[in-house]
Amino acid sequence: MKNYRPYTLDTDNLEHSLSDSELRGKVYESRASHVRRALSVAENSTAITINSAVGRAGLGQNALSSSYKPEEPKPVEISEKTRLDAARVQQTHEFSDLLDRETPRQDQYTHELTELGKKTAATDPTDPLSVAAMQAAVEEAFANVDDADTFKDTLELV
Amino acid sequence: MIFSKVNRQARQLNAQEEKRTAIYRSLIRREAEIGGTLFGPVQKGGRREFFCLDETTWVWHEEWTDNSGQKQIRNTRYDMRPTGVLKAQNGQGYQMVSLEEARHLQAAIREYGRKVSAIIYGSTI
Repeated sequence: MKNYRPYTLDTDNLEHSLSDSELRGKVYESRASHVRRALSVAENSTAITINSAVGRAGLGQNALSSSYKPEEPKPVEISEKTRLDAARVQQTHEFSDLLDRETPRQDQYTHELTELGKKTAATDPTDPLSVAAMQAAVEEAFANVDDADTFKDTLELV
Repeated sequence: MIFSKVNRQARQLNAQEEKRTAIYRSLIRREAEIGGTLFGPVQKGGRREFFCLDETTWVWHEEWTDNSGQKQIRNTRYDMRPTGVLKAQNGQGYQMVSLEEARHLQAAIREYGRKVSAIIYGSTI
């Protein structure tokens, strides 16, 4: 046999009756809230419709017209000052590029000079262009000179 | 004993709910009258109401007599959707409102808000 739960009703939780003025106030408040939200929703929806219709109208009036021709892009007006500034900037860039290119060459030139100096110092004494060779030649010439210096007497006489 | 108490409270609640509904409807009727004055004079013998039915629905009810003396009724329902405003007339299919109609509707709804706020709800809207 089934055991049925006895039916109970919590009468304490039933809503208490409101006075007419309280009820009226609550309904006014509720309706005002509904209208306020409806105004906000309507504002958004109408704005969306207007914006999309304006977009369609703008595109339609131009693109769908048989005489519609897309406008040629207009050249941008550049003042003389802007043009000069641009030229100056360009020159600066070119100069900078030139420096970038020339500096390695200069370094290479210095390097070559250094190498040449080393090479000169180590040159064979017989090399006529060598300083050492010239000095050696001079010393050798003085060593071989005899006493009969033609000019010595002449000079002493003078 | 307990059943009589429950019955009494149930009757009170029903009466209260009926009152609540009646007050709510009377407010909508008052709003509809105010809304009907937003679009200029109404033809003699005609009737015009414009009101907010719920948060997303606005209604324009128009009654007039045509040239043949026949009474005409037109109900226009505006539905506010996230993608824009749709309208249906006399229960026919929905269509998007035109740019001009959307502008008029927007102006009318703003004026509706100002008037019902001033006349009925004070500064609550």
